Amino acid sequence: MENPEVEHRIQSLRDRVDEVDRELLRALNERAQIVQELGAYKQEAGIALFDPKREEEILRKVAEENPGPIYDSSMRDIFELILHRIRDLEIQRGEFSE
Amino acid sequence: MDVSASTTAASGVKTDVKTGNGMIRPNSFRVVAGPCTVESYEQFYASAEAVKKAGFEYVRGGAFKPRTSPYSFQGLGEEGLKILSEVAGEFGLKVVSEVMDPYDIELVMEHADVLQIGARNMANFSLLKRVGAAIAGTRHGAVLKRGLSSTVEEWLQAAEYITSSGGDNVVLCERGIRTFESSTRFTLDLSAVIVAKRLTDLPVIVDPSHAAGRRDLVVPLSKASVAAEADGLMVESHHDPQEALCDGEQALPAEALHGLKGILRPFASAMGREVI
Repeated sequence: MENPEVEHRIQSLRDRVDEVDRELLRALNERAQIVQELGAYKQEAGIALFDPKREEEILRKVAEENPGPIYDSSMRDIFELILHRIRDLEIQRGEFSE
Repeated sequence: MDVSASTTAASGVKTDVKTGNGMIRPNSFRVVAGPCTVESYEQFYASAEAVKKAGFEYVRGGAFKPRTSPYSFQGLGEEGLKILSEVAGEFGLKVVSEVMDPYDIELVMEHADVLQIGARNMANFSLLKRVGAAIAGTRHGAVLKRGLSSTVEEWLQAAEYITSSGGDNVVLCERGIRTFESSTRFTLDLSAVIVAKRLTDLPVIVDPSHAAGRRDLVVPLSKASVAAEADGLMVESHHDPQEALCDGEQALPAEALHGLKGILRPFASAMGREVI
């Protein structure tokens, strides 16, 4: 692939992808911070972290509001992973905070 | 990311969980013991007597047995339940017994204080909902075993079926999962105990007998369960394991059961718990 025009075009698209990834990173960590705040509050109030009703609500909304082109079911999978990984962080908090 | 593991003993351990019916009490470690199956009045009497003498208050025993082969002994059914409640009444013991069929829920509730939902029925959601509705507002409890191929997430969702149908006094029970390992019958997943306890306020107990499938591992796994933040144990014991009709190779004989409380005491006390 020696064509400079092609390379330039690919590079500029990759730069846009990188930019979006940076934005995703920022947004996901912001989400995690808010969840941590919520978790701390729940712990104080004596409420269990596991809340399958709320999780289902979030996943349903994600699928409903998804404009595509990612499939609704795939978006659900992605968000399920996000929810659970952030929750993992949350359950470790007590152990690591000292 | 600053994540430095704390070495403080028992940090973040929830030892204060309880059930409203007294099965699980704060800062306690509940031991439920007894034979896999009620085989006869004499057999269950001798086994229940051993549980009482060992200092425990809860006896287990199955009247309906979910066996892999339809030709294995299936349990005594209603006759077994009658033996269960009669003998337990004599010794002042509370009873944990499995229910497999929604039609039997009321019958089992007549004879048992706590309904066990076995690993093979963990995803039987209509049974879970019916048990939840049946025990709602009563002092009856439910022990929900983890399915042998279920994730912690699926196990907690299954518990939600019982609690959202109104059932209180729900206790989770880790009993080992299927893995490639063949030296034990199942692999006891103690990390699941810890994760489940972090995620919910439901008590979590451990069944080391079914997980190991062999008697020699039961006591070490019981000690490990205390350290892994479990709220109790459900162990199989038999007054004469050689003669047991079901799972004899994993049952603790009476003399071993008798020593169990003393063996677990120092471990429990390190976790701020009393063995009951």
